[in-house]
Amino acid sequence: MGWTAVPASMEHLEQVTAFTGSLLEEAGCGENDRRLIQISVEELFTNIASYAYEGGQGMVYIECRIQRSGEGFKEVMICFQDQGIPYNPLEREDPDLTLPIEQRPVGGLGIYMVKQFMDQVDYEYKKGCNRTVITKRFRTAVLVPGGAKDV
Amino acid sequence: MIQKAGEKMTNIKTEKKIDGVTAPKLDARLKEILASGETRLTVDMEETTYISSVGLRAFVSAQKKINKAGGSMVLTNVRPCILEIFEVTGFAGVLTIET
Repeated sequence: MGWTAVPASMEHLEQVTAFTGSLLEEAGCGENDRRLIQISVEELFTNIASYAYEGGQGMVYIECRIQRSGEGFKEVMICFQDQGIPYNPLEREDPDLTLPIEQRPVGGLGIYMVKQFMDQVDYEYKKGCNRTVITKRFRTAVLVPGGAKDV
Repeated sequence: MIQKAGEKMTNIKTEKKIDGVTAPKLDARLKEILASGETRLTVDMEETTYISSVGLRAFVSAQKKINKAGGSMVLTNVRPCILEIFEVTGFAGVLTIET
């Protein structure tokens, strides 16, 4: 469906979410699913921008594919690739949500959200590239003028 | 909410999106308020329909300081879509939320 390549830095976050957001909107992805997918895109991009190149410069390649998945449903697959240090986000321990606020670590929250919001998250390191792929099935909304309303 | 005489309450409003671009501004605003000695605040979240982990961390960091100082922070007009995110991340139990 489409791909984009941007430097791995936070100034490019909006460019990335605009890219995935417009493809999801065109595909009829409703406001609620779109929000959860967009948060996941932001979290993964932020991780790469913050850690992959250890303060140096590098690129992030993002591919987004959307296909039919039965009557009234579609499935989105978004793939993030970088040539930074090998890092498997799935190895991060989930945060302990029962801890009192004072003891709760703030790290690991982003990837935890991705795991909660997506149907599947896969990671591999191959040929010098980190490759993280997220997928989610969503119901296609009936297009309403002005778009679906937030709840 | 009962406000005692002489106690000052600070009110702020959050933006539509609390993401990697806008969260640092919210974080700075909360820090500035707390640094000025105010420990009682309400945060009107009516406009907000998106929050990522960096936004959640700004609230948690403020809440920790407020707890230490014996103050209070109330998030008001929280939409169901945002409440869902607070719940999934386990923050619904540690922040004071009014929908």
